[in-house]
Amino acid sequence: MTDDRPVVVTMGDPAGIGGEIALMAWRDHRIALPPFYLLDDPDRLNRLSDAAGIECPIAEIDYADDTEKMFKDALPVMRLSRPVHALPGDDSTADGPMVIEAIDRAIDTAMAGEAAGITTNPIQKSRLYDAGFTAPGHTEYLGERAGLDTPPVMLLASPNLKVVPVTIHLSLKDAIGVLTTEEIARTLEITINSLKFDYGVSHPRIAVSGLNPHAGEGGHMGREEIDIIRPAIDRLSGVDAEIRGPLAGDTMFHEAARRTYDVAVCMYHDQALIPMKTLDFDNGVNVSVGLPFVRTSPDHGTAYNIAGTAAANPTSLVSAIRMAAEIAACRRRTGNGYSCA
Amino acid sequence: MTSKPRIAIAIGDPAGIGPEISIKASLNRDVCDICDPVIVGDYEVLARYAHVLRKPPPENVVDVGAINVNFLTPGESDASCGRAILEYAAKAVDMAQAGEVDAVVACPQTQSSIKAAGIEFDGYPSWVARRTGTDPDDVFMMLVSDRLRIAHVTLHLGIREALDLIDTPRIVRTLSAANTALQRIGIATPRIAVSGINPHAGEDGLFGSEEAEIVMPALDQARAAGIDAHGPFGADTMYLDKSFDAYVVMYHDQGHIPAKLVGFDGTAAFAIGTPVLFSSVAHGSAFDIAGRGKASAGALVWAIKQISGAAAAA
Repeated sequence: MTDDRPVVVTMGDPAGIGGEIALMAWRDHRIALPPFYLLDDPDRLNRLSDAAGIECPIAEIDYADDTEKMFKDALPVMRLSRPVHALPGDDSTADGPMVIEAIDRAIDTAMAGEAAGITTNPIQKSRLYDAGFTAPGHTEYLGERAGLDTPPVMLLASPNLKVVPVTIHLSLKDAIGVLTTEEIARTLEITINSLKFDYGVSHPRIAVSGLNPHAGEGGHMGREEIDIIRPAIDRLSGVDAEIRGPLAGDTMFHEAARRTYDVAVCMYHDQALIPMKTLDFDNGVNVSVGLPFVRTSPDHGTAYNIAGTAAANPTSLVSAIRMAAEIAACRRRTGNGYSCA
Repeated sequence: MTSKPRIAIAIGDPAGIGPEISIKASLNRDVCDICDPVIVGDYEVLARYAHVLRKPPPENVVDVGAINVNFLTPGESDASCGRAILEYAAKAVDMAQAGEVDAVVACPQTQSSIKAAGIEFDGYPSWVARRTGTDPDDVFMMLVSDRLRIAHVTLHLGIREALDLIDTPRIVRTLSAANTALQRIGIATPRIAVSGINPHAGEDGLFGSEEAEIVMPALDQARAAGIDAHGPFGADTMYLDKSFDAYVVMYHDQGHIPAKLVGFDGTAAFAIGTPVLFSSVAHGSAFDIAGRGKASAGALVWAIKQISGAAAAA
């Protein structure tokens, strides 16, 4: 069973590579992709496709429903309320309100059930402060807009590996400071639900890393495994899932080890991101787990330094759009488990 | 270099797979082509494992006489094995210091057995430092695989302790030890990448100030000393740039995760910063298969090849 609703893709930072990778995704991959439309300024996209030499006809649409019939012949674009002027690599903040509008409208569309899910292009949040953006990041902003009390969990997915870092964009010292049994247990619970409802894994197998080298080696190299992580795993003992750990971070990603679990839950950014990027740099997709709507994004930044040159690789965006549609279809099959659509 | 380097193989834990992989490696054609291997261990122990392998007892043995073979059960390591591990390694290191061998490769040790013998021990590198009269703070571990060389500023410490220990002088010392070791293996001016401590190397101070306060000054000092050091880089994307001869990372998992992903079966662990060329093998004693002749000598052969190249280039 598939989901016939389109995926809505946000503009992201117009000075970054978001526009051109969307054009390239349509030009090179439309046959293999679920229909998607872009929330953007069609005039700027026409200018961009001319300047960067990316052949991609644009079709302006007024309703998400129009995506499917247009998608075969042109990239459907829904116009933002004001024109977008940024040129590739610009450091202007003038388009900030439109960057935020694209995100807000995508959320509204998804919350209304008119889109299968959202795929967001990269933003640079420091350039949105002038426009009133106060959240620590894209994901947290989506959580606030969805009315969640706690931020969504970030799951990174590639064909080789799924990882969830319990802490993300914090200094290592701060990350260690905020690791608690509650936070790990909450992350585990959300991750398990995502595997069941978003990926259709009926009895998820979770590998949990330690914080210290060799998972602390029985307390010889740190006690967080014993004092914090183990109790979090124990707390979920009644859940229909297989949770193993805490495991040594350096051996749990070996190929044979990866076959024994569906997702690895890691304690901090580099522990999750090093294996992810080492195994598969291009295909990684960032999935926000625990939101009422489906949200994916490519696993890279705005890449201002190559914006406008058509040198960017659209692979991660393509994977993100595809995964948004797959998760939406899976939620329909598994009965969702979330509150909207 | 007119003759082949002589490489001492210390057999490690006699109850583990060390003795049998030492025998296998010393008979390996590639190994014999590039070096003259000498096994440093107990003759009787080696004879017993050779029997399992259906080989004659090896001839190129330096008999240390550390353990009574009649009390040895493969797979069951104890305090006497712990003591023996360091006696073999000590003999091999002493031979290297006396110029009798060019380098040492040590088979897997068992930390709990060494501790059971009442000996303070936290891994081969710092032990080699003490044995050679080097300040343990000047010795670091560099993983060497066919695709990556990764030196660690801190190693077997809880992450909180590691964070407390990382400072500018320590990073400079790691860079200097790595630079010297790389020059010893024949890279005249090594290009070295240095990771940050925090995600994305702190992203300009957004996630931590350690990069600006600790790592950047270390890079400046290393460059002033003539080391071609670059960074700090986010550890998750740093390895994608293959133009570096080596990478320096701040803590254990930052280096061991990629090393084990791209070179799991062929990784040597060099102790750098000591006067002796010393490598251990990056796997454990595999007690579950010890004494059955099944253990692969692949990682040991790899380490011997790496260090022979290093010894030959020195």
